[in-house]
Amino acid sequence: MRRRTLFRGAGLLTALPSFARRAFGASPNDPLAVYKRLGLRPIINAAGTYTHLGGSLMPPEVIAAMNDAAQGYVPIRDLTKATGERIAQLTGNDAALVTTGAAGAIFVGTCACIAGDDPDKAKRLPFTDGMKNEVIVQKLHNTGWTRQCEAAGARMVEVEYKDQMERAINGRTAMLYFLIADKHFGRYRDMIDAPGGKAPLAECVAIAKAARIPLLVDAAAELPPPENLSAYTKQGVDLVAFSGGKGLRGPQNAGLLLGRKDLVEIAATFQSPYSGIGRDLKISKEAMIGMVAAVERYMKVDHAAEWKSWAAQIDYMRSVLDKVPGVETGYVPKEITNHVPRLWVKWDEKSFNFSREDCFKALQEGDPSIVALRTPMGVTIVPWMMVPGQERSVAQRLREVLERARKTARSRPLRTETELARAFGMDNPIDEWDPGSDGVLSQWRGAL
Amino acid sequence: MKLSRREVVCAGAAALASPAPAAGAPSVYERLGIRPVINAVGTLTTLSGSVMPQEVKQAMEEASRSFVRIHELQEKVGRRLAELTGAEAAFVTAGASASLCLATCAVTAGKDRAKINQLPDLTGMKSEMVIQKVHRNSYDHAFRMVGVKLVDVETAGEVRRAINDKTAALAMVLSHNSLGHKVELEDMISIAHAANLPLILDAAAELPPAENLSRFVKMGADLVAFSGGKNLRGPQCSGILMGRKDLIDAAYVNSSPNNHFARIAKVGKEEIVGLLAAVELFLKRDHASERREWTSMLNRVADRLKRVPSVHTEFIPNLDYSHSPRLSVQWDETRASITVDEMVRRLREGEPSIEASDMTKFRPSWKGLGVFPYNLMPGEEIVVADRIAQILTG
Repeated sequence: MRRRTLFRGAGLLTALPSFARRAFGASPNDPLAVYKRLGLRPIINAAGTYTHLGGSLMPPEVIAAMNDAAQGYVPIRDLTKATGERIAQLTGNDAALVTTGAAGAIFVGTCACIAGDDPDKAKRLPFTDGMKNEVIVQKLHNTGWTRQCEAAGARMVEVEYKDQMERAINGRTAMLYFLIADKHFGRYRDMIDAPGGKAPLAECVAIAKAARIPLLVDAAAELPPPENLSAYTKQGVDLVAFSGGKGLRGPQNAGLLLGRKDLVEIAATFQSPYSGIGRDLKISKEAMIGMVAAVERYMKVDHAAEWKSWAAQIDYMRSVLDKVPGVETGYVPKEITNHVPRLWVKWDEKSFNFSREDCFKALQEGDPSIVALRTPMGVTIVPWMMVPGQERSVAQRLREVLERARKTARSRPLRTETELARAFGMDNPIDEWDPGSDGVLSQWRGAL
Repeated sequence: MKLSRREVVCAGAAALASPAPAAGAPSVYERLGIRPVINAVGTLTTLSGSVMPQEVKQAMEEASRSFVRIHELQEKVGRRLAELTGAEAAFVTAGASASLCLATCAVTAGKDRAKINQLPDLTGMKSEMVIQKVHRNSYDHAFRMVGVKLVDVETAGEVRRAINDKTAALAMVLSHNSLGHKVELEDMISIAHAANLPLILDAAAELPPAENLSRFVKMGADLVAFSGGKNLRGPQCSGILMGRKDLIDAAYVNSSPNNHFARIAKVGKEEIVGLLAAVELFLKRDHASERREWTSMLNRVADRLKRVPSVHTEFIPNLDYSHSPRLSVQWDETRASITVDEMVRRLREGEPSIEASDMTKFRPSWKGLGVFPYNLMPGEEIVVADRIAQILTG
């Protein structure tokens, strides 16, 4: 049975792919033995495609392709070229390169913009004296991910407004870096006094084109929709970085650099198998083939059906949780979700004497262990990386946890609202933040 | 009928013994217009490392079925690797090169968040590493990418004199690319420790012998880097960093999944689990019998080439810590009117494509065509020998 037909199935249980069924212990051999032997508890991932939770789960097609790739030797340079050409063709780009993740893509892209094809410059990196080494970034986009530009030897030049960006361009400018964060900040960007990020992509493209400076877009988590694979380059962006181990469901340690052929070809020399500064970025034959399979699958998948299947998981969880007195649920507004539907669950923390942090911990420590998100909207459940069927476990656990909290509210030491809030630690708040809250942005910057 | 993944993996066991995937169907490589090669060179990254044994692939596949907290996974796998090797601590990296980069992060920025955020600008941190001149090679960029300056020395006296307030560590490389050092590992270690400095060892390809997995840390090396995708036959993009607990902890703070400088070297859950499986397997393998098998493979090559006029074969001894047998095939180049270089090219261009090496590239005094058995699958040695004979006899 193919995944695609599965997602079209109406019932969730019929939509359970074979790898999911194994995850529930249907197989005679415990499929999670490899983790359990190490004393680890595998988790239900109700958070999303987080690197520290293991990225995403690869579909059978990707694993089968990687298994095939593992059976023989092949010249890696030929493989780099061939997989790049295939992915470029599939995604509608001039050129493509399988990298060691979005971070790897940003790094090799920056190396290419700084050192070009000059072998002497390449050897000196990350020492960039005498080279074009400045990368211009809007303040709002200067997050932890620009460290990959700095690793290449770049000096980040922060600007806030369009005119500042234009003035910042000089003879030492190597690149413009732009973080796609529309879904995190976009609609609300003008509603608050965001410290930076005032120039939209189209304006940055125009500035970059006029100054003939390459523009790199960090679109690590911007899938789905699949159209994004070519949307930015079609707008005139020179280089785009995507993660392979998130929405694409490719190997966790893979990514894509897409865009201008000359730059992508140079960028390829800044990762393994080439020695030099990029030797750390080792990419296996299996991962390269796995990425081709992942992109091939991604272009064929019925994304609307996937969305419906996630929404069905949410609706099921809501039907269970709405029965708990004092508990409210809802969909996180589309504008600030990371392209997939999300469920928020909230309750009166004071009367439950139970904070989001308490709930997060209870879910995490229970059996099965569930990782959700703590957000200003409540505890958020993201079905994206939940295997069909897991919504039942999540709903049941959440219901148990919240019902018990409500019933035992008075028997536990009472805490004030301030105390309950103090325990609140937000997860990667970039993903979701409350546009109405003043403190969020500073909290976010501090967290990185 | 479509194979289930488990069946695919089981089929993989059989496939280990034969280079081609399921007969009839074009391989994933052929579909991309790439010819797979018979690898008579070795575990070169450019030739895609090594082929993983069934057990490793199965462990990786199991790992791919569930989410797990990477920090916990690294901790548990690290503890197991430490148990197996006798090192104080260890974790899985994206390759030996990534191990060296992370080791350098550990001895410069350490765990200090502000310093980590400043890399590769080492202002205010220790910024030099002392290394023997012959150990400088194209892989030393793994140290330099962190921003350190490598101070080249030749003798033990020079090593001692080069140490100053800015010295972060001593570096040592064991590799066939970097032979001829004057200061041995034990001496580098004692000089480092006398100066209260850590020693970082690049032992990327120093397996077998399996003892090396514990030998260098036992000798006192503080941080040791091994490749996972070479003779360990682990995932191609994996490696190990092992050594002193405090330094390993500091190195890990710098590593993926943490979002710092070294996130570019990303390691997945599958690779972490696969590497552990590879080490467990490696320590159980009968290395003596493997070596005997490789020797007989090469003897079969020599035997088949005996009949070809002017051909002479000899075993070339290894000069570094690691060893697997190597055969040099030589012939009268004028009489056969083909040079070693041309032979390499014609083997590559033929069908099936064979990669073998020009021995002079390793060492000018060595001669002939190198045939190394480590990555030859059983039976491929005959294909290689026959093709060499065919090319020589026209």
